[in-house]
Parts: sequence; C-alpha cells; structure tokens
Amino acid sequence: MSVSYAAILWNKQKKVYDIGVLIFVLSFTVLFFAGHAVLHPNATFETILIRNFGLLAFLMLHLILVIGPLTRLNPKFLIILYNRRHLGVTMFIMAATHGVFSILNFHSLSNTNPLKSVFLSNLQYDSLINFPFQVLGFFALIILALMATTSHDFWLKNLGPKVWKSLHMLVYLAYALIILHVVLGALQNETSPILFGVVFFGFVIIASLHVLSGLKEQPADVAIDDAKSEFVRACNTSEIKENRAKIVTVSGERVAIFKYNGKLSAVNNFCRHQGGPLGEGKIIDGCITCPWHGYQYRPEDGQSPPPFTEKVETFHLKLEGDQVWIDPKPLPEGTPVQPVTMNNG
Amino acid sequence: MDNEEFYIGWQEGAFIGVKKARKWFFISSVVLLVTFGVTYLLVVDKFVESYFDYSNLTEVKGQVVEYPVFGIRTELEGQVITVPLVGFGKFDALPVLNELRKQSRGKKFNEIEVTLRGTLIYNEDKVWMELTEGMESILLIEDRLFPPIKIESVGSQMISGEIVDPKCFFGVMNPAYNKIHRSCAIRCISGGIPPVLAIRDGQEFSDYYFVTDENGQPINEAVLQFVGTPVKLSGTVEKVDDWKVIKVSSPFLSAIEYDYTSEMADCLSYK
Ligand code: HEM
Ligand code: FES
Repeated sequence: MSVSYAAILWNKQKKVYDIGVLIFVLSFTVLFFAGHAVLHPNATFETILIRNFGLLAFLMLHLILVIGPLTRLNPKFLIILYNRRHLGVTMFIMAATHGVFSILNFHSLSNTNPLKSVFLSNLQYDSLINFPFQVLGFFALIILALMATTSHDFWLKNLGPKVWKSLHMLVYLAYALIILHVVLGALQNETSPILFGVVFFGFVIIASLHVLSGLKEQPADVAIDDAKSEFVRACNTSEIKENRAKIVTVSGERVAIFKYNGKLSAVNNFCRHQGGPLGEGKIIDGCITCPWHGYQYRPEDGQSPPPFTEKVETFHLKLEGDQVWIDPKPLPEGTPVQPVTMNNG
Repeated sequence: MDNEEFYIGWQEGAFIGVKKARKWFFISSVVLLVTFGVTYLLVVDKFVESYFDYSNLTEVKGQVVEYPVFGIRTELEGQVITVPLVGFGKFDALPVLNELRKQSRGKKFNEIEVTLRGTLIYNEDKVWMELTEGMESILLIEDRLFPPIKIESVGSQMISGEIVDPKCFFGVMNPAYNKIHRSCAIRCISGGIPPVLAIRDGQEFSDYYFVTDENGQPINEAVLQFVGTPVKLSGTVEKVDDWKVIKVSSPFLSAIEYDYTSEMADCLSYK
C-alpha cells in the first residue's frame, strides 16, 4: 500500500462523509449566529465568531473521540472511522480559527507582541481560578496542528506506524488541556451551572465508552504464554469463523489467527498503516483486509501484494486434533510460513 | 459479524448495514449539535448594552480636560458630559494631548475650545471616544473661556468592584469583563488606557470610578495584577463633573486587595 498515499482516491464514500462534515459545521454556525441575533443582539460579531469556532471544535473533538470506542463495540461504525482524519483536520481548522481570532482580538494592536502577550499578560500561573487559561488552549492547538499536518499517509510512512500512533495519542492530552481551558476560562465568566454540567457530561460519555470498549478487549490481552514455552495452546478451530480471525496475546503482542479455505495462518495483529486490528478484519480475495482502511496482507507470508511493500510478522502454528497451538516467537516481518491444513476443512 | 457488516473504505459502495450506522451517527450528531446550541444560547449570560460606532467618525466640540483623565467636556444630546479620550488599538491618546498643548500656543485649556473627530464608544451611562486618526483627529482650535470644572470631595471610602479597561468595557468588545477579558484588559491598561473600577448591582454594572494614586496620578502599572477579578479599594473619593474618582491610599498593596468574599458570593449566587 506504500504507493497509495501519492493519490488521494475520491470515492463516493469520501464525498458522502465530507458533505456530512460540511453540513454539521454550517448548520451549527448558522444556528449560532441566528440565535445570537434573536436572543443576544448586544453580542459583538467577534465574540460570536470566536465562541462559534471554539465550541464547534470542542463538539467535533467529542465526536472524534467517541468513534474509536464505538467501533470497538460495534464494527459497523468502521465506516465513520475510515475517514476520521477529515473530521480531525476540519476540527483543527475550526480550533485554529478560534485561536487566531482570539489572539487578534485580545492581544493585537497593543504594546507587546501578541504571541508573547498570550503568555505574559496574565501572570497568575500559581493560581487555579485565575490561571492564564489561554495558554492551555494554545498548547492544545499546537498538538492539534501537529496531528493535522501529520495526518497524511506521507507522514505515517516516514514516521513509522508506532511513532505516528504515539503522536496521535496526544489527542487525549489535547482533550484534557481543552477541558481545563474551558473550565478555567469561559466557564468562569458564566453564572449558569448548566454549562459546567454539559462539559462534565461530555467527559463522562467519552470516559465510559473508553472503559467499556477496553473491557471488551481485555480477554484477548491476557497472555497465554509464559515467555519460556515453545508452542502454547491458543484456541479451538471452532472458535474461529471462516475468513475471520481470533486474537490472542503472546510475547506481549496481539496475534491474529486466521481461518480460510480449510487452512490456518497467524500474523501480528498491528496493521502497518495506522495500527488497525488486523484480527478484526476479513480475508477478501485471499488477503487479510484491515478493517480500518482496507490495507491487505497475504496470510501465508504477511506481505502486502505487489506493488505494495507493507509487511507484518508471521508465526508458526500447529494443530493437535482441533486444538490450535502457536509458537510465541515472532518470525521476521514477511517470513513465509506454510499454512496449517485442517483435516475436516 | 457477517459480510454485510464489513466495510472497506476504498470500495465504491458500502453495505446497507454500515450505511445505516453512518446515518445513525450523523443524525445523532446533528441532534446533539442542535440540543447543545439551543441550550447554550438559552443559558449563556446576558450581554450588556454597549456600542462601538465602528467605521463611523463623529465630530465633538468642547473643552479639553486633563483631570482625572484626558477628555473633552462637551454637550451631547442636550447634556454636558465629559467624554474620556483614548487612542487607536490598546493605547492612550496622550500623543494627541501633547499635540494640543503645542498647538494652543501657551493658552490654558480653559481658554480654548477644540473640535476633535473620532469613533464613539458608549453604553447607556457613559460615552467615550477613540481618536482613531491620531493627530489628524484635531480639526479646529478656537478661543473661548470656560468656567473652572467643579471638583467635589466625598471623603474616604472602601469600594468593592472590578477593575476594567474602559475602552473595551464601554463598547469595543462585549463582554469585556471578568476572566475571559483579563489579558486584553491588562494589555489596554498597560498601554495607557485609564483603569476604571466598575461596580455591580446584582448581575448589572451600575457605577464607575476612575482609579488614581493618592495624588490623582495614573497608576496603570500597579493595578495590572488586580485587573478582571473582584477587588476592594480604599481611598478618598471625588466627584469631577459627571465622573467619580477614587484616589487609592498608599501604601498601595494594602489599599487594593482581592475581594475573596465577593468571589465566594459569585460562586454562591449560582441559581
Ligand atoms: C491559541 C489558542 C487559543 C486561544 C488564545 C484561545 C482563547 C480563548 C478565549 C479568549 C476564550 C474566551 C472567549 C469568550 O468566551 O468570549 C476561549 C474560549 C473557548 N475556547 Fe479557546 N483558545 C485557544 C485554543 C482553543 C482550542 C484549541 C480549543 C478547542 C478545540 C478551544 C476551545 C474553546 C472553547 C470551547 C471555548 C468556550 C467558548 C465560549 O466562550 O463560550 N480553544 N478561548
Ligand atoms: S490501519 Fe489503516 S488499513 Fe490498517
């Protein structure tokens, strides 16, 4: 799949997705401006603009953060995960608009450089309630900018999927910073406790979905080997559906054992693209197909079919009756392994 | 998981099952968005009534005043009031005051009448003006003798309120007080815009004082750390024309303190 980043393929699904994102952004903005015109005619244009984009980015961040666990809980949501980066980049544009207008509005045309002013105007870093909350938003924006610029597969390729993934895990740090930015900033000006309740509710939803999806995955994460052992029992053949896999954990890594055409093969579960769970994928046209973005690997050798060059680790399997055994030692990425043939197919 | 559920992003079509999931997600997101937007609009704090007459210049004729701040005493809508003057952006208009001194060729300010042009900033009680064009704001200087301005001493007082930057507060930005406006107010006041103590009456602001040192001189730098939070000031109060001034007693730090009780009161006033 390594050549695929050169051309972004605009298929119908992407268009439907982007139209959805656009409708979301436009309808909030129209509602927000019209609502102020009717209910708060004294608000200035800049205030409405700054709040509109801050709130939009905040809302979209919540959507982005629920997609991952939702997909874990119900794979049908993979369709939302697939183009999540479009949502992410749009969210960053909203947040950047909010940040840039805030800096222009509150810090420019003054006796100090506007960027310095964000850090040096309010100096009460030792106070909680008076903390310079804009600084928190600033750092969150830097993280979002890093993520948006590296969202392209070009960067994924250059950084490697593990580094890329760790970088993109910073979204949780950004979320924490933004929660504090809002609670120690805007909410301090408001007298209604309802807004505080809404922020708290959002946090509870995100946290509980993550806990639920984590619990669902936990059984797969209990290591079945004790590091010394050679072959360990992994599962019963009947536990694996045709063209699907079972995920087990050996040597601290998740491994996907696939069943197809009366044969069994095992590969590392971590997709080389963005670390998608290959074991939740499916064999299509003879290839393991990643559920996240459809990268493909041959089950016999863990290699992407030409012209693609991605490779994952493979593992030796053996059958004793209908018990599947696995050798916990991973073979180098792309090593061919003779699939195990099942007698009763 | 059956075939119907497995979605491959690079394929042209998508199965009914996943399309349904997408639709469900989209509709839930829009419902969430509308509910959130409407709730926000209903519960967000009211905005005070204030205006900035952006891109519209007004000519004002009257007497230049220097105390408690640079301003022009003029008749607006049948009432004689003092309109304090500020510069463009987050700056004072003192360069214009110096230019007026030069152009008045030795005459005192109560011996001349000037016409200035700028952008009006106002709420229901107070009018301010930004000298948007800098030196070009001075249109005319004529001879005219004005009677002295009355200064009335009110005595020592302790007043609770919030120090705001009046340029934004009276109209350029809205809302322009409390936490979200703190950094901006600090920039304005450090740029020379005279600090004003705004007093709340419940949710609304109802009374204003210029804040100076005990000799009536500017104390912009010294108040910076107290801007945008509840404070208590003690000092002597004067009435100057239609404005009030609190001359903060020295030593300064004991005369200005955070008003924790009113911060507590703010927290407790959640209804
Ligand atoms: C340079 C970076 C940033 C600066 C200088 C900044 C500044 C501000 C300021 C001054 C406010 C108060 C505005 C008002 O209520 O009138 C605010 C509110 C807010 N900000 Fe930021 N911000 C930054 C980054 C972010 C980011 C990255 C996000 C999130 C996605 C964000 C989300 C929000 C939200 C949700 C609010 C509350 C909206 C409201 O006031 O009702 N901000 N920000
Ligand atoms: S993670 Fe993107 S295709 Fe596997």
